[in-house]
Amino acid sequence: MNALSASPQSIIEQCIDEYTRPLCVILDDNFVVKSWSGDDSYYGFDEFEIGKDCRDSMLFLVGLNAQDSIHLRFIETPNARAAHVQLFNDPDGKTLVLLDATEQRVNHALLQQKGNELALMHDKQTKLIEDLKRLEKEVEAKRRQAEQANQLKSQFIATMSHEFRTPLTSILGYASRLKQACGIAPTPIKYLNSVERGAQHLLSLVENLLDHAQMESDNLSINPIATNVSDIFGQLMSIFTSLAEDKYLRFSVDIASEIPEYLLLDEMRFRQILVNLISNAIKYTDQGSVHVQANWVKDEITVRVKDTGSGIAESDQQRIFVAFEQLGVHLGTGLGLSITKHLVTAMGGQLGLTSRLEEGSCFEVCLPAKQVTLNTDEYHEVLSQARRDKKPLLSVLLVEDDPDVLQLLQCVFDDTECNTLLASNGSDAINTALSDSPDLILLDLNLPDITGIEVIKTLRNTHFDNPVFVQSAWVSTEHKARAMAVGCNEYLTKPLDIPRLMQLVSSYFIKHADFGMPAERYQQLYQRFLDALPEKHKILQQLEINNSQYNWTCPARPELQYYAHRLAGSAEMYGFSSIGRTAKQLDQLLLDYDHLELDDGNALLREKISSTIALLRHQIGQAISQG
Amino acid sequence: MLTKKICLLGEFAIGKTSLTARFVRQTFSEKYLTTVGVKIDSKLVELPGQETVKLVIWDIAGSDSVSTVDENYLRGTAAVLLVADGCRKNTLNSAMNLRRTVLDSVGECPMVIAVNKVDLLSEWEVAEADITELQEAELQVYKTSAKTGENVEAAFQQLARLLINP
Repeated sequence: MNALSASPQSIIEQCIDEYTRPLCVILDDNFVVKSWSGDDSYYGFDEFEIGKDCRDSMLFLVGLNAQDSIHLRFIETPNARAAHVQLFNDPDGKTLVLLDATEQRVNHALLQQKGNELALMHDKQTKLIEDLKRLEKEVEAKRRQAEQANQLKSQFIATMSHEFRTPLTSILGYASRLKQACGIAPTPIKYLNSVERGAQHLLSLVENLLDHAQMESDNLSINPIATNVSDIFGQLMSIFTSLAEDKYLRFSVDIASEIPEYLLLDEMRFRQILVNLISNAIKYTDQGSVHVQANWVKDEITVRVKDTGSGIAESDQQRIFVAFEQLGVHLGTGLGLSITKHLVTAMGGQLGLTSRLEEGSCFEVCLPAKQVTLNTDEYHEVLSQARRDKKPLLSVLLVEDDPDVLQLLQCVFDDTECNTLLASNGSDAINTALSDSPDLILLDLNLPDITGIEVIKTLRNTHFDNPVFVQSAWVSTEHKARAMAVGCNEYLTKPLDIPRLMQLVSSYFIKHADFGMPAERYQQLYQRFLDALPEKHKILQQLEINNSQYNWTCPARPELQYYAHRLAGSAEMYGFSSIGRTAKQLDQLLLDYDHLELDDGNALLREKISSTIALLRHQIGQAISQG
Repeated sequence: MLTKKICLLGEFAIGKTSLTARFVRQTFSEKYLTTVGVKIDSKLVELPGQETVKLVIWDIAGSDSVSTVDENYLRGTAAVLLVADGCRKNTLNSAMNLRRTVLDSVGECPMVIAVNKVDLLSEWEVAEADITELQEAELQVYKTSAKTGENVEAAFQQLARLLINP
């Protein structure tokens, strides 16, 4: 400083003064002004007076003691300027110094404002993130709750389905057997038909609910297999012809000749789709016709179900595919079309609808379906081998805890002249299987002591290699997979489709001729069936001759029905599927005969029954001539 | 006339300047402007049957650090109005930390808590239970709104009352 000349020093002092605007006040211990230097008006204070307490003007001094020394930054002055304030306490008195901080405060305020606003935004962001996390947790909790509720619902439906299926097995099975036993009395048969229809309806409701539950939980599995499409249409004809005739509707099925014998399709689901569409068409058509047309082009099968029914308004055409939606008041769950659409989509296809009110509807199903070629030579070779063998009868172990179902199964197998062994729990089943070594075990899963799964495991571990068929009211793919994994050969669901069971038994023992005994035993049964064919042919011939004089209320008709029913089961079992189908159709026609009370309907049915008898006789004749 | 210095302490952006403006000038602005350093105002408070007291109100800049305040600012303070924002619960925690700082630095002195922004009650994070808890600890709490003026006068008057009759 000394090195500078007086002039630069004064310039610097002037600059400092201009920049800091110093105000210096000398005070006594009572804050009375003794002297001051600087511009007091710059800070907006009242003019200082020597000998006067300055705290009225300088409020920042209020509360201070005589001994206090302080340094205060950014004190706002009366005219909204800012100053840094320093109070020095010397033995000679107090010195108060104010230095201007107005400009510095502006800069500081800018930074602080931004910093604070940023911090506030950060707070808000943190809060939003916390809210979001909380909401996520809530949503997750709700989702879990909904999932659990859905699982419970699916479990409930699956359990209820199981609980319904076992008694339905008894109801349907015994109704069928009672009809056979009733023989000549038309009234009880009429009642039993009603029981059967009611039970079938209940079964379809249960199945729809189960399918819906599976679709909701994405558990629906599609299992394409080699499917004989014309067989399926034959079955549909058999099911729906009489239903359509009940309503005086024309029902026709037109299958294009290009459709290969076997297509790769989920047979069960394909049938289910068509059953849903055709039954709906018949249900909603009061006069006219229902026509089914099937085509196959470029690995895609297209089936159109066209009716002349009430039609669907354009505004309702989307609604009908929604679960539980129904147009008008009708019986059922309102799930049929929703399930159908799900199935078609799951199979990689499309479901279309064109409809006009009062003119009718046309549902069109397009499904990918590749052609499959089966090697049938091997089948016939095994069959021939089986025919040459001479072995004793099949022995079948029936394992079922429900005594009604057990008795029913026994009746079914007794009809085929199999030797039946019975067990009502898992332990007995294992003991009987190991001591008697049955050729086939038909096993329930839900047994009172140990599960059917455990039974299979135990048997397979003790090298019991003969086939085990599971028959269970549990219909889920998980149950099936679990059973198949431990060594079950076939998985059948309740209520049992008896002809299907018989067909499976027969085909199984032919296909698995290397099992030895069963194939030989099968041959014996097969030969008996062949031997009885001329007699059957004769009976039918006699019926045909007597047709013109046939008295439809005479005792012979129920006998004929019983005969047709037996023939349907046995023919399918021994591989005569066309005879089986025709016999089954005859059985159904004769049953339906009871439902019709109008003369016109009876005439129509009588005509159909006559032609079916003729066809059956013709088929049996062919079977005899082919040996 | 009794002249007393009181300090408003609390985090930034909780409404200390707005409470002072409402109390001293009956004004309010929605715009947030940060305070740098200290703003000093004064107001005469007349209490029925009591000596009039001149409150010298130090509106001290809030800090985002929870318990810091330049102790020079607290020198000579007679009472403290601790301010929190009801919509930010952490500001109440900061106010409680500042209370401890005051007790350490100044010693026992009258203190009142103003939980501000009661006009935004639906957005409050401070629960009634939090306030009850403070009251059970014999702290005087006011739910204030600088915007509507609710309880602002009452909080300052209570401080004045405590200053006259400690």
